[in-house]
Amino acid sequence: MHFPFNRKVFDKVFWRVSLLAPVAWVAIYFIWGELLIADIVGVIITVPILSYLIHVILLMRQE
Amino acid sequence: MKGRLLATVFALAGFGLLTAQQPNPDDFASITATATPIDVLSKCDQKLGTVRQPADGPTFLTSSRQFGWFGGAIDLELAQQVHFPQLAPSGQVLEYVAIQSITNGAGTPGEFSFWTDNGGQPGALILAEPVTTQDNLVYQVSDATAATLSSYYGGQLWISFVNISDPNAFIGPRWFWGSTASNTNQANGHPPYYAYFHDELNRFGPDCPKWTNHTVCGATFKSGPFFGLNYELSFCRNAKLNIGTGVPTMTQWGLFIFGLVVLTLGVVALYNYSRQRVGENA
Repeated sequence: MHFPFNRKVFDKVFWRVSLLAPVAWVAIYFIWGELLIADIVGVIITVPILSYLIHVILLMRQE
Repeated sequence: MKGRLLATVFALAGFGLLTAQQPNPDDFASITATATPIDVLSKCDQKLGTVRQPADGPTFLTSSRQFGWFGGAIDLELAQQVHFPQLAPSGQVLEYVAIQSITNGAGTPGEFSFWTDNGGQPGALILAEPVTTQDNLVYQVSDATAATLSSYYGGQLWISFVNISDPNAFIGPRWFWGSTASNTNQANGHPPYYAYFHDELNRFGPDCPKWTNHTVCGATFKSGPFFGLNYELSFCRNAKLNIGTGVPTMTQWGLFIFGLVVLTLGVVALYNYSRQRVGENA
């Protein structure tokens, strides 16, 4: 399987998604009433995967 | 548009002023100390709810000086029925207990306790916590206390407070009890006389058992038949990092991340397929 990757697009998406990480933690805290270590780790793992997913979708739209 | 917005704002402000709850003048009848409403929830990151007595908001209570037959400072304990709210089962805990103990000058060490309900009066002691009295006492309960009390959510409890109160003092440790009907907990469906008091030295006389309401002891009060402790139980949470119980949440995160990876692989496959079709057509 070929994994498309465009550094320029990925960087742009990655930093924007990273900014949402603190928002996610705050939302988790207020919705579930607590913030666990697992939530911090989960968001950190999610950010690059979600960034890559969005980056691929943007590549599809561009091409 | 701007005019309509301003008119709406003024209308809402006027409505708020008109409907603002006015305190009962009786509640201020014998108060010489300055009392301020308890603001315990300002200490919490997340507000979950409050049980307040009086139920209609913080009002000022009548002085214990109403007990005119006491000659000096004594230990008095007043117990008040509390209906714990049924909270959502998501780990919500009682974080703070605020007791509006209006004192003149420095307070003295005291103690508050939680009791089970035994046919409408205090039953078995659940726990007792020493506190230091001060104006508008706000006490943060320990995690152990919160855990113990959490099993009583949705049930009936009694909360009591004991402290040295000098009924003849204008300057000194003197705390106040309610004395008007507005201070009863009838909003929770309780009848009057739900407050019981306890004198360690049995100065109410031999006919007064440990927990006694005033009708049993026949005490003469200068005003009002109702007595109530002004308290506020605040259910709230502060930011906590819980390292030890991450397994269920990690499972949820694992499922979420697995789904995200599968979705990503699917999109990549779709991308590759679309590129292949473009190559074939070219």
